[in-house]
Amino acid sequence: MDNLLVRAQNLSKYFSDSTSVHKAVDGVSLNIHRGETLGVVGESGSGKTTLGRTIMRLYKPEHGQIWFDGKEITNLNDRKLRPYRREIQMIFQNPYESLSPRLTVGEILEEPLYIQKIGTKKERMDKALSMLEKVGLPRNSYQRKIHEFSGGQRQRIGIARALILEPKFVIADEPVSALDVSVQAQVLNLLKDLQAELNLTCLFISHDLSVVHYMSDRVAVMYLGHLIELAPKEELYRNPIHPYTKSLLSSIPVPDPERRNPYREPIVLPDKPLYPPQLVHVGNEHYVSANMINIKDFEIENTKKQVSYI
Amino acid sequence: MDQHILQIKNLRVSFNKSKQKTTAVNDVSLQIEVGQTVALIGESGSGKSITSLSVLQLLPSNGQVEKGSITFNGKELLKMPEKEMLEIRGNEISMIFQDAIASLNPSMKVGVQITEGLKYHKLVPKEELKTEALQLLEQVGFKNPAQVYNQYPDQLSGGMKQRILIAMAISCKPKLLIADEPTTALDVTIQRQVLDLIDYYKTDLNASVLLITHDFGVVAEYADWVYVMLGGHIVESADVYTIFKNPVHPYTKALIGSIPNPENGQERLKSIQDYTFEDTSYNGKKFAPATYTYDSSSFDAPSSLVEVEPMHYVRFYDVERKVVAIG
Repeated sequence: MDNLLVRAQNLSKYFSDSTSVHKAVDGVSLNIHRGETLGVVGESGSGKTTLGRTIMRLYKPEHGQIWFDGKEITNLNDRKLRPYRREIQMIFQNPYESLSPRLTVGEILEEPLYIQKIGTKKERMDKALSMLEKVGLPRNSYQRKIHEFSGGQRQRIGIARALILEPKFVIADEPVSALDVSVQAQVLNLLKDLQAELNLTCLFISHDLSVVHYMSDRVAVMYLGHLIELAPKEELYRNPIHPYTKSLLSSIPVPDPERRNPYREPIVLPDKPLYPPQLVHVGNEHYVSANMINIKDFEIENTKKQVSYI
Repeated sequence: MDQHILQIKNLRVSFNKSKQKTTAVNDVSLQIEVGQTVALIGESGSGKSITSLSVLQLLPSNGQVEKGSITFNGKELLKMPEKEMLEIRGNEISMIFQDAIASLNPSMKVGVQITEGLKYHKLVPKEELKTEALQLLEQVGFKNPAQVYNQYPDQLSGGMKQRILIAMAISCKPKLLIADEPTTALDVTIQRQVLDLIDYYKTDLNASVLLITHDFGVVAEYADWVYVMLGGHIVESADVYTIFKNPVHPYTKALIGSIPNPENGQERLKSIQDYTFEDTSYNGKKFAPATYTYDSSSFDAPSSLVEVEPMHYVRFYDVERKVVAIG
């Protein structure tokens, strides 16, 4: 069986009004392997959410192709997409807005099953109850409504709703950024456990580099709609090449006051290039966009860096 | 002369909501020295914002200070008439709010907005206001102040709006800046710029900062002294090095343990459930509160801060407390 679950080739999504075109995602290509978590980091406006939604086909891309499980889904209409909706699910950022306040938790969880015409009423209820258990909520949550739950509990319900259809691929779009730190840790641990248990493939979108590092196998960095660097996480965090990636990494607050560093690397925010950059392989499965920086320069610097780390 | 710029003693604040009284802040004492950045860290609902609003006397109308004192530069703020308070607010103490979008007037050019304090407090003549505004905009890092001067808030990004708020807050050169989660909604690179800016201002003018946050990473980078709040109480306080090296209260340990840190390759994050409050004790004393809680009413028995080592305080119950099963 093919090891690739998702493949996006040269994907672009533009938003336009009467006067201008905004290229939210511009020429992004990436592969996601079965069972892996690919993290996507970038600042607000870098196109990471749009990328997730386009891969899921909530948006129709302007250019490029998307393959899911070996089949192209770029141009399918809503009806033909329906079977794929079952296999690709999304966990949204804000559990206060993405869950209906009028429905009970049971109704929220059973709705996807109902739409996909799965099971009898009784079976759907059993499934919802077992899903509640899986995400660590009591059974009596079933008939309660959303306002009775805290942020962390709501996000558990959001996760349960995404997983009830037993999807192969889950897109988590900033799933913990609306939560307090201590609750954030619980939700991240839950996601990690479920992912291992159900052998899920994930696209994990976040602006928080520490969270992405904790959750992902490989990390993609987005900047102004382009993919600018992609590498296995340890490689990326140890050996960032693109100046923007370096700025991002050096901006993470280090939770250790003894290592306060007043001489951090300055923040570099390059201008957007006219054309989507090409990713160049620089070893160790590490790719970096090439027309934003001079590739020769960093190769020299790169060897230096590797030497200093050995 | 008092070397503390701000001193809060035994503050208790409560709210009346449909004939019920809730205590949001209880027995909070904290002090800020000149030139210090003091962090007040806690989760939503722990009372950290209410503490800072009490300093400025900007509590919502159903909230009142029941007990305690707040002195700024030796002057008692709680008994101060509103007229004098107006002279302090925005002038000697100013606040940077979390929500930049809600804190700016959408129908007013930002350049005009940032000079309102100067107009009111410093009586700067009209013709000089624009020069002052351009200077402030440059100070907070805008490369094109003349252009930004004429823009409206909705034309600016989140980070830019936050910088406008900082420009506004420092316009009268206050002695104390209260920054209430100033970077929560911002990206990391912008977070760093904003915090560096606040830090730079503080050092430059020998001012003090009360930094309210829930992020221990930010605390490690910028604070000198740390107060940890839980359920309306301060549960631990120490200087920033001590609190990271030797946290004593299980809640502080939990908060520090729950930060994902790319450098130490954690297999699993610790969450609040991985720490027990009830069963642990420190030199025979029981930690207060007994359970993880948002609610100050869970501090059912008298508790107080105890010095566990020089200048390091942790909250314990006063007397040996019988463990009650909580179901």
